[in-house]
Amino acid sequence: MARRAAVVGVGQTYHRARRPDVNIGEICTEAVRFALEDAGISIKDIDAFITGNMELFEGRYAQDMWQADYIGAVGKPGIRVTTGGTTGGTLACVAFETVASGIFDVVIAVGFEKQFEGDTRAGLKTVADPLWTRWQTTGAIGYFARQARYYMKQTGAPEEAGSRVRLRLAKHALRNPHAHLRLQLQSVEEVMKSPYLIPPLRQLDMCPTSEGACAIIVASEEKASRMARKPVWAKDWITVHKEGVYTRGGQHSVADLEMAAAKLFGRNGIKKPMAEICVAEIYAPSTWAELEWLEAYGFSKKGQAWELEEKGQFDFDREFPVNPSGGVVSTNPIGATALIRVAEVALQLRGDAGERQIVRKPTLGFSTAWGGSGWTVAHLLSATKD
Amino acid sequence: MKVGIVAAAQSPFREYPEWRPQELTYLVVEEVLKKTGLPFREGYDDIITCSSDHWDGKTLSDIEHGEMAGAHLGPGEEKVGMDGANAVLLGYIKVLSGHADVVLVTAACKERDVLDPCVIENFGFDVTYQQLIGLDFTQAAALQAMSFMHKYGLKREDFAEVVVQMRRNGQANPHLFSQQEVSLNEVLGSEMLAYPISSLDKKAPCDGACAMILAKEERAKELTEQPVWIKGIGSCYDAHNLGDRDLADPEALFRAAKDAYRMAAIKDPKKEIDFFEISEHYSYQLLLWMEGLGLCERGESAKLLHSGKIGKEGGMPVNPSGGLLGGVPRYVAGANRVIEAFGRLQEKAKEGAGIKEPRVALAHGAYGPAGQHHCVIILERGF
Amino acid sequence: MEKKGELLGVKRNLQVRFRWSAGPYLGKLLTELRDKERLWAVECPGCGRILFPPRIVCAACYTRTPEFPEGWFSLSGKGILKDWEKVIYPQMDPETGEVRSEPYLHGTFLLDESIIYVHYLGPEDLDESQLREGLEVEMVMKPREQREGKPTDIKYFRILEE
Repeated sequence: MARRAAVVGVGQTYHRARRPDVNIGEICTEAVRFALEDAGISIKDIDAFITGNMELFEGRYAQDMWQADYIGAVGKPGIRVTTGGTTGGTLACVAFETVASGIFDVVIAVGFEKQFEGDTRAGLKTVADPLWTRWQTTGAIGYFARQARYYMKQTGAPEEAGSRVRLRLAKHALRNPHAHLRLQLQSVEEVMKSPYLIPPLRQLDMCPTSEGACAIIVASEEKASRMARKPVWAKDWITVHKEGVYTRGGQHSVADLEMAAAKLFGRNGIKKPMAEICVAEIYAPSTWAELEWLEAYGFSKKGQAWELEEKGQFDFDREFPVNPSGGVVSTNPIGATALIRVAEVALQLRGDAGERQIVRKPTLGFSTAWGGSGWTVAHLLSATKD
Repeated sequence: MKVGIVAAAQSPFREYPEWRPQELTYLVVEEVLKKTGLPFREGYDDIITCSSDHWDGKTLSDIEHGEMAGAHLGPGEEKVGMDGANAVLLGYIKVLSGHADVVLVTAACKERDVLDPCVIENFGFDVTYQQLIGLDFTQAAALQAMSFMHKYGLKREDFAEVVVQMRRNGQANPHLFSQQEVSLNEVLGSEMLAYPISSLDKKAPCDGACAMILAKEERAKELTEQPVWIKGIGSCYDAHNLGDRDLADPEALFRAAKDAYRMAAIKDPKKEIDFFEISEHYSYQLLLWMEGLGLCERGESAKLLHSGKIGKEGGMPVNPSGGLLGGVPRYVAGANRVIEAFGRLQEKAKEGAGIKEPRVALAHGAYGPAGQHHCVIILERGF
Repeated sequence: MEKKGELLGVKRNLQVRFRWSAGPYLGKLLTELRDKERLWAVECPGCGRILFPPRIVCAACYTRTPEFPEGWFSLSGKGILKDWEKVIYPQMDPETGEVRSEPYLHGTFLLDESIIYVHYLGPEDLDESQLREGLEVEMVMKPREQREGKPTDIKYFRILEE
């Protein structure tokens, strides 16, 4: 690594289904202001801007052009990366690399989505190949319904298993003022009253469409030492993709998640992920995906995540806190979602997560992004520089 | 640490009814991997793609382009949603950061698949004011051209002369959509789109793809005898609201170039850079961007154009490749500028090219309405 | 006089027409389906993976696939039912923008050639309670004059009577 990069400020809006009171630029400005305030710096201190969102959503084209007027990018360098659901994760990677390269000392990464302003389902349907699968695609919902059926079949987990995940995430979201869905769910039975989208996937199993923005400020080691907050060090990061699922013929695979975690943990000497990693904010668009992917990352043995969930081990105040923010199932402004994972881990490692602060001592955190045709971006953040 | 370009490949730019956009990406990636002998997937650590969801007509267009570039369970892929020069810039940053040793950069676009490009461009403007008056990029360019004309007393003939010179240069470039020369009168007589921009003043739409390999110094020297180092980069946003800018003042380009020159330790680009490959999506832009890059004083670009100095045989060649006007697809455009500069630097002194032993070149990409965003890359041959 | 706190919005429809090329691989597959009622797959010459639909390169081993007919083989159009799903929530047809609100069935079929394919499960009056994994299925085509060279030239897959 040429030089170290640290997260020195985070900001996110209070995510909602609709924010008719702000336009796209304004919602980004909110997040930028929160981040600048958090870091104790002004917009003048930012050297470059890294932005992204779902490229085609909101019916927008070249969105960073209009956005520049709002986030302080006019007259300054910047780049736009658009990698679908993993956008927020990629924004963090690019921010880390830009600082590590030595070209810029302080950069801000801004991700957002204003999903009510577009047709999210239409936007996701156009992921499908226009000539081969677009006619029948049920988009993300179809994918996750199939995933749920697959997990249940492979592991023998009962239908309640998904609902237990939902309960944990709701409990966490109630402690997170930024979360979109903050539901007072009391029991598994209550969750299972939620209507089916495509069985066994229920409405409550699936992430919402949210409007929100998130910004993180990343600085070099030298600059970080002069900022208001304790720096959170970017230890390592990785991106793994799979070929287009629409050409792969519907075969279910979590090879990207497995490979990303194996490589990232392997090259960082992490042998017992659940013991060595203190908190995980994983990007899981559905409750069932959260279970399967905790296994795929290697946090629990195959087929056992649902049993650990039943025992409550993933609660924020327990052995291995997963998504203390409430996760993607509680909040999903797609272009910001993955960046929120990084921001949440940073808050946890700083001890600044308020009511949702994990009880376990936070030294090493793991954040992931998911999207595309089965893509994974993962980061390791550390409270210490080593 | 030095980062170099070691190989590049481009498809001819034309209409491709026989291939899908991702297949065009595959063809250039196959070619560039053959040139370096690098195996797919293991040979590089990262892939940066450049494509447009809007022009491909699908969300996450990089699913296909990434797959064709070898992303499957391998190096992973990231998409730059801007002009291709920015993809090269990101590739450079990746290697410089130490996170990757070798990076594959691709760009692809099939402009001719889209029947309503003006609609897409219109949606690139802010929702509240500019979109609703029906602006598209050609109209924004026309506004900029008019500002430019009024500020310095330029004429349509000056812009038409740009087209004549670019098309003349382009005759020797087999990649361009058209290698045909055009006369001043043909340009002036071509269909008016938005005054003063007529159809020959505008880059021809076409399909195509390109790819290149970037590597850190040790690897670059293993992969080629003729690496071309990236010495400086710069990028800059201008204001989006056209009325907030003096459209005839290319301040964003000036700042991007300034950063690139500083990084490359260049004090006088006119003397220290041997040739320039810049992105003129419209004819007037060649003049305006030359001013932004500091190749002449503000308002003097027409004089520079007419002096012949920027011709292939002149003292300061600009777009010896023929630039974009002859037809290079958008998104590919900025990356194409880099590849043209790279190619000419690699070839050293070329018979009849009129450029003796070029050592340093500048490549430039522009994106957004009326060049709202600019990206500048300085290249230096290392052999 | 404007109402206090009134929020204004702008509504627009984005309509862009495309002219997509199918390319020699997908193009051949679709024309064969339309004209000869046959699906084709290709075996990767590098690693032997079955590529369906056929495409220019194998993502796993990066070997270029020859164009039709070298290495291509036609499918029987038959297989077994692996999984199915009832799509309950209203679906927008991505090609027309129309919303279809009646629930319908997708099936995941394991074709005879060990290829997984997802398509409609029909006919419409299919008795869902009779569905189970392993039932034999076969492709049912639309009448010739209704075919357009699209995957929907297949009307649906139906369960073969025992």
